[in-house]
Amino acid sequence: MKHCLLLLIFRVMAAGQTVEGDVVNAVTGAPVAGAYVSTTNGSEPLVVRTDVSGHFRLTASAVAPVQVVHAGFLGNYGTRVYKPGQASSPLRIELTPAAAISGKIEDEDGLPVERAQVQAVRYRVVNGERKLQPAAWAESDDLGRYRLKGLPAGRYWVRTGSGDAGNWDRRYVAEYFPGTLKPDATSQVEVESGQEHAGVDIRLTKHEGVTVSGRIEMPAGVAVSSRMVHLQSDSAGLPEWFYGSQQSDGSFIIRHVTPGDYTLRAASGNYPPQAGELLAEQKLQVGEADEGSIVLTLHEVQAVDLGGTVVMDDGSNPPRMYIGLRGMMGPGVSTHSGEDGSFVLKGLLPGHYDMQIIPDRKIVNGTIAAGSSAHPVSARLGEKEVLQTGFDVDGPPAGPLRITVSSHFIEISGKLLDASGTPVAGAQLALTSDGPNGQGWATTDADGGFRFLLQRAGDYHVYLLADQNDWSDPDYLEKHVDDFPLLRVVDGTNPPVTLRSPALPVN
Amino acid sequence: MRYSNSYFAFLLLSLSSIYAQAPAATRAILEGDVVNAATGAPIAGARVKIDPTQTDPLYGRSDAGGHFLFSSLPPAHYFLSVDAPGFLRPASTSVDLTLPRSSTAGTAGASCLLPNGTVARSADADGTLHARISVPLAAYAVITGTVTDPDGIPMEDSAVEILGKRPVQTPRRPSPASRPLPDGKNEIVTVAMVRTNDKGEFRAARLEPGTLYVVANKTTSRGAWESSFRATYYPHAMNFASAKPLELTAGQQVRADIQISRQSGVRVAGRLVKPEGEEYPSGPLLYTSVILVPQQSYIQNGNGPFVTGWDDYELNDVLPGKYTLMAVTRDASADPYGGNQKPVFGLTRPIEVGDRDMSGVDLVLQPLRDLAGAVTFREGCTPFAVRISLQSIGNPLAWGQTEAVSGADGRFVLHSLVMGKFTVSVSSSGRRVRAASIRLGDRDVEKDGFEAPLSGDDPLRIDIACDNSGGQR
Repeated sequence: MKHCLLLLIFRVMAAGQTVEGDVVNAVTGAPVAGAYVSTTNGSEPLVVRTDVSGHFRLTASAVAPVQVVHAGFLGNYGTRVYKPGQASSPLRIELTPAAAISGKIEDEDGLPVERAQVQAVRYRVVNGERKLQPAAWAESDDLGRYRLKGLPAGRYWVRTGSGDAGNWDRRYVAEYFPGTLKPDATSQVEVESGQEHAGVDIRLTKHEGVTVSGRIEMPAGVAVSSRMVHLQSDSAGLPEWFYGSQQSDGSFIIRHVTPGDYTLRAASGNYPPQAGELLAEQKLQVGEADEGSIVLTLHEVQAVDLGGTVVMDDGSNPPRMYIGLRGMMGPGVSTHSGEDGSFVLKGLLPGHYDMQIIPDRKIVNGTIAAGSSAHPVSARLGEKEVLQTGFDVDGPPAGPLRITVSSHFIEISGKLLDASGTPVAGAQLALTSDGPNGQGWATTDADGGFRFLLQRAGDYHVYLLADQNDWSDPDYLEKHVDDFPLLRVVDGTNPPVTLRSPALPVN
Repeated sequence: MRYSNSYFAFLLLSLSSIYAQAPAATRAILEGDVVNAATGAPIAGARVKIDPTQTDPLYGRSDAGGHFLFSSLPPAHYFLSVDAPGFLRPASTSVDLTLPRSSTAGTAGASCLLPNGTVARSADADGTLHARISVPLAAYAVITGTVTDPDGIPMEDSAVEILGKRPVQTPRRPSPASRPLPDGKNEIVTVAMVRTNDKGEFRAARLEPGTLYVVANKTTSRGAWESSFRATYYPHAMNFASAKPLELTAGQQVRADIQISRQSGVRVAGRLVKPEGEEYPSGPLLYTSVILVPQQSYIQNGNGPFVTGWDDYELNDVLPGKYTLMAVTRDASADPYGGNQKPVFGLTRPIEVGDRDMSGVDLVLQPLRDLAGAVTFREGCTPFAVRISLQSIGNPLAWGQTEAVSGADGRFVLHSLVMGKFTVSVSSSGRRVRAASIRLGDRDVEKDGFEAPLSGDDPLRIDIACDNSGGQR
């Protein structure tokens, strides 16, 4: 996916350019020698190194945005310039030293836990929901040691899987530092740029948990044979699995399950299943008591087709749209809507799907023609709005998928000035308001100018982002919510806006 | 001497209960000793797990003398697992605690048995079954080191492979993890692969003693690899033949620091000529990947990563040698953001690279062909839907599996085969199905697979005997 996007970006860059620049340590300002600066020379990546003074010079037949990497630093794409007057060559590229968290995982007996998946996690905003997401992950070695590298400065929970301890004794489950089942507000590990926080050791403890048991019923005419049974939790974005075993009489038992919300699942093959395989699923809330007598009835998984239509919000003829569905695993399903707006998504297997809806691209004389400006404002499956959340497929779909698109934008333009009134070039600005489609992004030009195209009117918070990651960082957004006054956006024409930055964010 | 009737009655009862239930005993004891396989020294603190059903395990630890004991066990078959830090883990082994007889451990068919482990069984006077087991564990070896780039800067995310040499396995099934050596008798196998951290450090543990080689490969960190950089074998060799072997003994830890070598090569470039009259987009959504795969080489060290182009391509720093040039064109217009990008054209051809730049190496791409086939079932079988998967061997551009599912009439079509060698596998409901035969025309392709492009229009025929269909409907 990324691969193709990059190809598209590189192709539209101007030919015959030279780019020069300096790479510096964002914290100390010292030059970074030996950094790899790469771009693409038509097809093959062109790589040069910075000299002892951190300077580089690239000459290529086509120059795309440069990318800069150096061991121990966070990667940078070199397209951002923070200070006025530096929009043109030479580029000043700041590399931020990466932080690391390291430690050791042991079991109750003090033996090292090998092959534990250790993650540094923090909350991110995903489709409007706060979810725990990993910023780095590592696997513990035979001495139980791990090292989470390449972290931006910040506060993280350290979560470890049970690794080989869990294979040895199922009472070992995933835990958070210093030894809790759920992330505890007071136990985050804070790291600064370039800092290594060592000694974040976790001693796993055994949890008896409860037993979940029952039996698996086969479809008529199918002989009983061994089936996979598991419980999958999805606590705030980090799934955990508890595996069970099935006896020849069809009964199953899953031991040492910790309290939480789960999907209980039995399948004849791997998960996610293929068409023709057998599957049974049900939601299960596990508390402090054993759960017995659960009956899971397997049914044959069938691929289903989901039809639908694309309509314009103003009733005009809809443009052709690309409709892509991405499952949790596998390549997903995509289609294009026709002249009349109709489409069919074929061969959907059970599972959760997220949606991507963009104007169909036309290719004229080998280049992508400027397409429609249509953007989706709603997608309804039956009675449910699913554009942001995606939807679950479990058997025949609940009605057609009705997608509403709009070509309507509200333009907001203006200028970003710093405290002394100087225009700020190359800054990333973001606008956000409550509700769906209430976001917009812009990068200021050499004169500090910006232009937002918004999908709807409302009151917007304005953010100056130091990093693209800030956009999904709920802590950053909360901290900077009052950096700028609230911006009221009305339908129709809006006057130009002058934004005064209180201080440039520290990279 | 006089005995009461009640005493005789008791004796009879006892005897009758022993004989009536023989050989079933009421109680069993399992004890053992964990020792270092090389020295015979006891291993203290090893953890021991026994489990009759693989759901209700009992846990124990070896004492200072390496001894462990489980008493008052119900007679049963037990799975025994032993683990101690610093030692290789033997696979769990089955111990029969139902019959008093002696045997070697693991006769119940565990795949990897306790090496030289022995079980002695006896019945105590009170009928208790008693098994004494010796568990020798082999200490593992460790290789650690640091990978630096040619300028001495730590190389992050470099893939470090630990390689072993062994005689060619027969029958030999092609696998990406084993590569034949030019002598035809031996092959290289990857026994472990680890990645360097942000300080360039790596640690490969759980290595069995023996002769091992280390090679540091390209980093996955995009852009942090110049085309003149080469995968480098310890200590600073560019091919396996010049690599220095490490002789590792049990429990030994050795260092293998590697500095990546730099060597310039030549440029290979040309146009990408697409078939005429084909209805495909001509823009950036139709892109071609090109790679040079060295012939008779053990690692792709001849050139940089594969390149992607539209109308032309350019490979830099290619080392002299014989290669197979492979190209695959994909159409991304159906799915510009996803993985459903369909291969449409391809090419494979031998190329010899000397010490001069080669321009004008134009690649005339050919449309890729489909392969049709049918699944047949032997008499008495109920037909079922079969998934046919092709695995590519040796074409790094053939990412994504080519798959098809047979229809009600048994027919299937495998679409757009890229060039290269393939093996065929058959499954149903996620389980492997062993085909009685897989033939392409008259040729048996079950073991060795086949090579695309195919010369004729022969169909792929898969014959299935239902006794091995994995218990499917």
